[in-house]
Amino acid sequence: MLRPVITKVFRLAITIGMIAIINFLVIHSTPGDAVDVLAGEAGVADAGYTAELRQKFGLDQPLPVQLFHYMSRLLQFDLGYSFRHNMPVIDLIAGRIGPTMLLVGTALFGALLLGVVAGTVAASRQNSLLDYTISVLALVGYATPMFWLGLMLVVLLAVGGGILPASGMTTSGSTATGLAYLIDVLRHLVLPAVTLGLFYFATYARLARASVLDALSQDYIRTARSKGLAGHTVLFRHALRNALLPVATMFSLQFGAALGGAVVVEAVFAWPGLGRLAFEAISQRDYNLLQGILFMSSLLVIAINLLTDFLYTVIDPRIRKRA
Amino acid sequence: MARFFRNLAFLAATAVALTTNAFAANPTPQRGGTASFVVVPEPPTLLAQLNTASQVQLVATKIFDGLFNLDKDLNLTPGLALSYKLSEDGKTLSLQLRPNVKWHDGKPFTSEDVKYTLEEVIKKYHPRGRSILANLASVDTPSPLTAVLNFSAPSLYALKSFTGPEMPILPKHIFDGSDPRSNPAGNAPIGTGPFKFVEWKKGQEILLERNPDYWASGMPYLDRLIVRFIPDPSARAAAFESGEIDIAGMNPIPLTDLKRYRGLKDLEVRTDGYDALAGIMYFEFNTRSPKFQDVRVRKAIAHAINRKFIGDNIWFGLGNPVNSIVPQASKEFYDSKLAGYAYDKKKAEQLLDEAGLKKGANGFRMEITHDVMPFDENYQRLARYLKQALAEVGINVQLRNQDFPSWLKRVYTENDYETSAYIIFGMTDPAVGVQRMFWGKNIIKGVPFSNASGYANPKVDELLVAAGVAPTNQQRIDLWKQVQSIAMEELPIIPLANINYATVLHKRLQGYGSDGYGVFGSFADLWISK
Repeated sequence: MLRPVITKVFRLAITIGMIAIINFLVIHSTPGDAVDVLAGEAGVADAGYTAELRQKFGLDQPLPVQLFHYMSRLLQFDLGYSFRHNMPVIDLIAGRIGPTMLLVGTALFGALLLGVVAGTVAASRQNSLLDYTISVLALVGYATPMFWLGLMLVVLLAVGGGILPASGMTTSGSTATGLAYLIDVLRHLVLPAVTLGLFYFATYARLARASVLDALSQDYIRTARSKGLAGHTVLFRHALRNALLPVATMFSLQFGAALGGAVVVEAVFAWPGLGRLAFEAISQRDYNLLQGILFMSSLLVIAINLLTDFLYTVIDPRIRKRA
Repeated sequence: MARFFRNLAFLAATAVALTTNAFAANPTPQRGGTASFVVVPEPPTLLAQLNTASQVQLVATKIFDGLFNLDKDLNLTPGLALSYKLSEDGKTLSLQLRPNVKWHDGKPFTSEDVKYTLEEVIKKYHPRGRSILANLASVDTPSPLTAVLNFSAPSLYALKSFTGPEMPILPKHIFDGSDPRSNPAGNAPIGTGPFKFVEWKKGQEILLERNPDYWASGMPYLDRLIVRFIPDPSARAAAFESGEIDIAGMNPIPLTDLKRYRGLKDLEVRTDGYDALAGIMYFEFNTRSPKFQDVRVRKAIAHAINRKFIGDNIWFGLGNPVNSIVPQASKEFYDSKLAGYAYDKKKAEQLLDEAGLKKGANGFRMEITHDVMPFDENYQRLARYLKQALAEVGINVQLRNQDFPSWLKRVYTENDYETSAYIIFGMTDPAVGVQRMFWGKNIIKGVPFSNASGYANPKVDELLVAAGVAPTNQQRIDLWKQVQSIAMEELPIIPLANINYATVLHKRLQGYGSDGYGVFGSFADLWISK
């Protein structure tokens, strides 16, 4: 019983270590460094400034030495220090991970719920007007570029009508607390979550529709029907449950992609999340910060994958028995 | 001129006079209200003493004061220093400080703060403090309201650097004994300026509130100033048009939208307030390249470029052709008599013929590469124009693109480029902003916006050094005119245009542009008309 767990943990540790090393090497292979950017932004800088900073940041050390320092810090659960922000990386991430999880979580779970319902309904009424409507909607959602959709929503709902706020996570200058704060955040969440979620909604709707249709043509459905079970029981208990496996797989795969998509959405809606921080860290060559964000994101994706593995066993008891 | 520097005492009541000026031009300012100010990207710190990036200065100037301010003509006006006196040998600068100024935490501002800031922070950590204050030997504090700066050699060029955006004064009692870079006050600063820091919601906004004890009586007019970061240009434009933003500078909207914005009912576009930056666009040759050894080739390229077209159509009127390496905004130093290189394709072809570069079978005389400055889309348009313009005289230009840090590394660390074009800031003195590009001693790898072209002329170096320590401004001006004429003759860099920036503001916001700083000003005099 213990042995497979140890193997799994060991494998995970190797994966995480490899991720950290690859992150480091990729990031450090880009030309230019944080000092170039700081001094470049400064307008006029002298040689003393750049030399002092490179020494302070450790950028004057050979790359293997820097990698060694990075990995030994990581082993002590230290993500390092962002010299640009003058703050420990972990503090910067902690301040931004909440908004990102709220955005990505709302978008993905909302898309999952609505997508599966829409897909299942469409499949149960195959070739009806409802099916066509849902399918066309899903196709459009699938094909719409995220940034374009975001800007259109801003123009239509925020600039045009002033119905929903277009930028930030709270009303500018607001000091609201409690329920008022919650409502304020939710209002700001609508547009970015819809923008990020629409693509995933479309994916889940199409996938759910196809999987349910596939399941509905199986022998066991005919058996269930011939047993005299009600239509909706067959649809939800038998067809949908079997159709959920590919959807769950897709969900775990897309979590990482949604984190990436959040970069664009956070920029468009000035959402104070991790994606924007990462994007800025790239253009500013803030190596420690970028490594920290990538590392934490990798951990998140791994955690979601583990969770999905667990969900499989809930959805499909046969998997548990095999293991 | 000499007398001006020998003894010029400001009137103690200049602050009042300034206010009166503002009254003359505008209706009576009204107190109260909140203004939203957009800054992009988000600053990493609020200490402009450590980081002079524009996004830092734009915010820090509202919280901190400098010793001096600059008026619209870039003359010194009082800030934390009420008056100054420069000794005849130009080596001693005595400052009479403003009485009864309090830090935001209530402690009094004294000459100790000036000494600490200049000696311990600017000279050690400021991106250009080591060079600007190279000759500053010590700061004496004979009384709490007197600071005496002792220079080992005259440093007149440094005078206009003792200003709010460039060298704001820090509170010694907060920073003393710490590394100012890791002091938490960098993210929650205490200054003497018109606005007090309240909160920084990282990734979203910085809240500032009115400092009721500000030294300029009645100011600031605004109750609150909210600094917002809206990274996406289209989202920023949408926020402007929906009236969410009151002011933003440094081209907050794409220049292609300038004309449309000028026609909008609620918004105003201003291009003043950028003289202290003194932006100037250069076309730079890597003079190490064998292709550019013949000065006739460099001159031919200058003649082949239509600089007026660039200013009018690529920079949408924000650029003006310039005939010197010194930006026109540096009025005293700019030599308006220089002829420059008129747009003349025939002359260009003739020079190239003389240089022995005949057209080959493909119609081209030579191939060159151009590394496009990746700062914004304007440079992309510029690069496409340059390719086209130089093709017309038989020069085939290969454009290369990369991101900003990669470009910096290629140009300034590796010198692995042939030509590039970009804007530099001439700043308040050519010794600070222009000299670095032409001084042979400033060919230093790994320093952005240093002398990357590799140009080194002992005569120019000599003139620059002499100008640096000249005890009067007139001597400096004469020496700089010689530098300009040599540089324009040898042409390691072709100056293309003086560059202005656009500020977009909502029409309810009044009082912009009363000093030389524009959006880099303190905003004490901005007010909202109700």
